Amino acid sequence: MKKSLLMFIALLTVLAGCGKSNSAAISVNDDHKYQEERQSVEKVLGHDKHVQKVSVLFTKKEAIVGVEVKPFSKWNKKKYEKKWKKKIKRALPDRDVLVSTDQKIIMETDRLNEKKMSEKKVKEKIKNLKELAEEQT
Amino acid sequence: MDAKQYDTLQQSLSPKPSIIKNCLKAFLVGGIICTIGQLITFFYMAYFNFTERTAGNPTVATMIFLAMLFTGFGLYKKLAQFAGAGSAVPVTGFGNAVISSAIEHKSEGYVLGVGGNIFKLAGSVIVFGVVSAFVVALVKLLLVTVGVTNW
Repeated sequence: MKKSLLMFIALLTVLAGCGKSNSAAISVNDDHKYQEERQSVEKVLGHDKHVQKVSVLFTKKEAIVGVEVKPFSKWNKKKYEKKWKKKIKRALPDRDVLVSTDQKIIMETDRLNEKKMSEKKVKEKIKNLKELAEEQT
Repeated sequence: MDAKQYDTLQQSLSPKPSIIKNCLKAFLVGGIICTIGQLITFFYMAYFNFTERTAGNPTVATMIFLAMLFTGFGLYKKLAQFAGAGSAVPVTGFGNAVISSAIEHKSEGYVLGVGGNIFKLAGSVIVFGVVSAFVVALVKLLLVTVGVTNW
């Protein structure tokens, strides 16, 4: 009984990784307005094997990209962050881009995406988040 | 009876510690304490302006404070009897060491008793903490040089 239960748990653990699709979910603050930008972010991050989830805040001049990295890719997340920032900057040349793998930035971008706020408020929030991202201690 | 005979007699009579069971208990309780710490980190990130990088400091402070409270109420020693190293190795063990020596030496007065002895146990925690931090930093340097991770 005990052995079969153990086997069952082991099987579940092994199979837990199966059945998920390969592309990461991307959420944006205004789907209609920023469809093109969304697509260019999706091109960079959508099929990256290290990415679990992406949430992006756009304004006309700025973009904050919160990237949730898969657990075993967290070892090198700063390196990926740099790489993605370069690529996204190339894809969105007229915007000031911040790419972050920090949990706080992901939480906040997710929260703001659900709220559907005005451009002015989003701008304010982006300024706050940028200041937060720069804090060292 | 010479020393050797005494040793064998003592070893045959004293109960054997079940190392695997103790390790499992320590692993479980240490893991639970760390999970609580992670939850506190998430709490600070969700409700205050802390990022993943900065939330560590208030989390450590909160965990130490909670351990100090539980030591004062006499609850932490019950946990330590069950978990052993699982409750001593996390940062909560530091809080426990500070307060338990403060309680122990309270009868000798507040200055020479509590003040003079409060870091009696925790001093070793600081020393070994610094030494192990140095070793961990060396390991990380090695990993960064090899290219497994980065700073």
